[in-house]
Amino acid sequence: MLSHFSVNQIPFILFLSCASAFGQTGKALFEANCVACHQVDTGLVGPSLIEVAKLYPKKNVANFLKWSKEPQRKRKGAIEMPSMRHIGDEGLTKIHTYILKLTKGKKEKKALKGDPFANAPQNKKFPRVTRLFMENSGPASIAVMLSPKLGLCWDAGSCRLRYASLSNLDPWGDWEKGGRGVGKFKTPPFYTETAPQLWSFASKKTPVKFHGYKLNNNLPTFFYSIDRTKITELFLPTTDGSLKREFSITGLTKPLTMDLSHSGNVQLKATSKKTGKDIPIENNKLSLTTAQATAFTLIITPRK
Amino acid sequence: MTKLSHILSLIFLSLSPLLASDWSDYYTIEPIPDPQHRDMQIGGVAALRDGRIAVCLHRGEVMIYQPKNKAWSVFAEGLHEPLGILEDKDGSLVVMQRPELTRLTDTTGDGKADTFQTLYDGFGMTGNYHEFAFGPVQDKEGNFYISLNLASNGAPMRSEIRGKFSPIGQSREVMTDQKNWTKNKTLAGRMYARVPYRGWIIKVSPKGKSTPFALGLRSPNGLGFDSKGRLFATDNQGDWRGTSPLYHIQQNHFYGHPASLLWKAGWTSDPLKTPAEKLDKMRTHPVARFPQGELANSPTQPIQTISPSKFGLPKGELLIGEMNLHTLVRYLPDEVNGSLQGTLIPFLNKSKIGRGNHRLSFDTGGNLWVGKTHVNWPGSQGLNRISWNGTTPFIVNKVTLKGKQLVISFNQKIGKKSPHIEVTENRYRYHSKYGSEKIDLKSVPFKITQRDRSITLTLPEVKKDYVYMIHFRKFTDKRGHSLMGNRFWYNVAGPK
Repeated sequence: MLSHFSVNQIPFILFLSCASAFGQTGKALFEANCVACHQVDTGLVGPSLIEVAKLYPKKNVANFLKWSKEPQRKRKGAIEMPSMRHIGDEGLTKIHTYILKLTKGKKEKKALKGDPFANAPQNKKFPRVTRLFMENSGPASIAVMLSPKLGLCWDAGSCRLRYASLSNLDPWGDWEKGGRGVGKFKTPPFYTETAPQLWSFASKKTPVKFHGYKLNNNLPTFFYSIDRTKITELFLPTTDGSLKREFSITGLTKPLTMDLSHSGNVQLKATSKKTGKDIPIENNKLSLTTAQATAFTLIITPRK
Repeated sequence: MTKLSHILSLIFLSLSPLLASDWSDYYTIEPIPDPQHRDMQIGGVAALRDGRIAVCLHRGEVMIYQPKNKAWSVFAEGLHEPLGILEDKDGSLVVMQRPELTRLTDTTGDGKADTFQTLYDGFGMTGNYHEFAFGPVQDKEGNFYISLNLASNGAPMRSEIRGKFSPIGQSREVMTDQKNWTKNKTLAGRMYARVPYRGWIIKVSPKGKSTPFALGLRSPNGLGFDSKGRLFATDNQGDWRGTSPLYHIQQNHFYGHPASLLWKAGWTSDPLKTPAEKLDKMRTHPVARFPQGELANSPTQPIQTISPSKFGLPKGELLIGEMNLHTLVRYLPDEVNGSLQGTLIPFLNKSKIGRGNHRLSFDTGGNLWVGKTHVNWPGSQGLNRISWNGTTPFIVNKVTLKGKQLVISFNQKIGKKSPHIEVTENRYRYHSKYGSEKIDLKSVPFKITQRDRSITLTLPEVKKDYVYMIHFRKFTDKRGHSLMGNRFWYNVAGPK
């Protein structure tokens, strides 16, 4: 067993006043703290070093230090830079010198645009279901692409179809800005439901619960409850470009009315699945008996 | 032997202790080839019981890798930013995505999920980009635990939200006003929680009953249970986080970020206006701290270590991912007078592991699978397999504080020669500012006692809530192997 007495002396205290920077070169400090967000010649999370060197030439090192310790956010859509005050002035100055050295004589690369996965095979398959942020819908939205020219936006928060479009989905807006944007259909909707309350047996305060969905040949059936009433809703494409919705409603104690007020030039048609007979829709109101409600179809056809 | 070769061999023998060991002497890091056409930013990794590896991806897929034939298959698509996956007892996969906790089941047996069951979505969403949702992890009773990121004032709320809007704070008009956001954002708070349970950890029973479990989190991008059934969460340096912390999560405890207080039963005041001194008294302190720029900048998932005969690390530790620095981190718990504290030591630091180490999972064979991502931040992508080659590295295997004595134990015999040792202490400020410098940083004198397999450092005093850095240099074991993870940080628990 060995024992001896060892005391660290004053020299340690002197350099420990900026211990993060001591003994570390500008390069090492840069790599530990900056390289992950800043590349030499392209924007990454933050601007390229070429741009940084332009903003902060040698004479502007004081401003570089100021920014690094208290960064603001000047660029639209950019991530706010976290403070680098933990590095200390000496270390930050070393990093600045290193950046100027690294970027001398270099040129900025051009940034790529657009969705790199737009043409991936999975994005050319139909039908398919994608959850993402969608324009004009709640934050828990689901885009259902039934065919290249028919899709819809389902709101899992309110458990409602929000709108349908005769085009394909462009999701890139959501992914491009890391969750700041929205996905949207390539053309505006041909059908948007506008009634504040779709179901006559529910009010704004009625609890709505989303249970999820099942896929059959990639077509989704949504399962949800409005208070004690259980609803399933299946979306199907048709050969004439109409949107077909198959409903099944159980747990009803009395007849109901669906308020199908909407914007868009469409024809609405409802059919009982059991009898095959049409159920009339008057002034956008579809009235159903509890028996009819257990299985009925709603077809939304865009008018030419 | 000639005189020259004799001299040369003597020179070699005297030099060999100075030939530093490399992590590649012990571990092999193998990047797995990506499947085609997929954005390989990995949000979750689960080594399945049958040997396959399930990953969930940024663009919403669940992919499964079969190591036997090196083939990828698609299990599910269309999820919204899934950031965790686990295999449940019945073989279904449970995923946490932005809007909900979802059970994915293949009921038809065709290898693809056909049922996407919503297990839990009873929390608010403003559509803010920073509202990530993490987990799930599962306790022994089968309950799931998820954690919810706060919103960032890098963006306003969207006009349509899910959940109740808390009236405490700026009006809904201000919070959704994109045009004037640059002007108004500081009023909103750097991070905010104006809809239910952002900044909380939620417990969800197997039948879907939810219990708000703990609060005061910020960006808790890593949940995990240790071998004793204790729940841990990492969080990220930022406002109210001087440096990234590791928390032991206990029910009803508040972990220091005030925004989530809005959803604590009975809370009626504006958290942004609550004095830091009051919040300081309410909060539960970290059990460990990751010094920014030195150990880790953005820690991620903690998982339990496995048998040392499989992976070379002691059981009973946590292995934690890291996004920014090229490293993983080991947590060595130490319980002192009923308080949990302990040590963080780098693992595979500066090796070929690279950055972006987001999700970890051990398979039954003892391989560590690491899923990488970057999203809006520094990182990488893809799946890596890390395996141990059977040679035991020289490592610290236990650090315990006994009064003023820090007892550092090793897994190898160390011989009589003492390493060069440096000890410093510092603390961090708890304040609303983003991050903190090291406060009261000092060199610490010590007395050293060296034994066969341990070094004890007797310190003049030990301060609560301080981080003690211990740096060993020129330290080899009796085999001549260098100490791997030779700079580490012991965190002393805060005041109770």
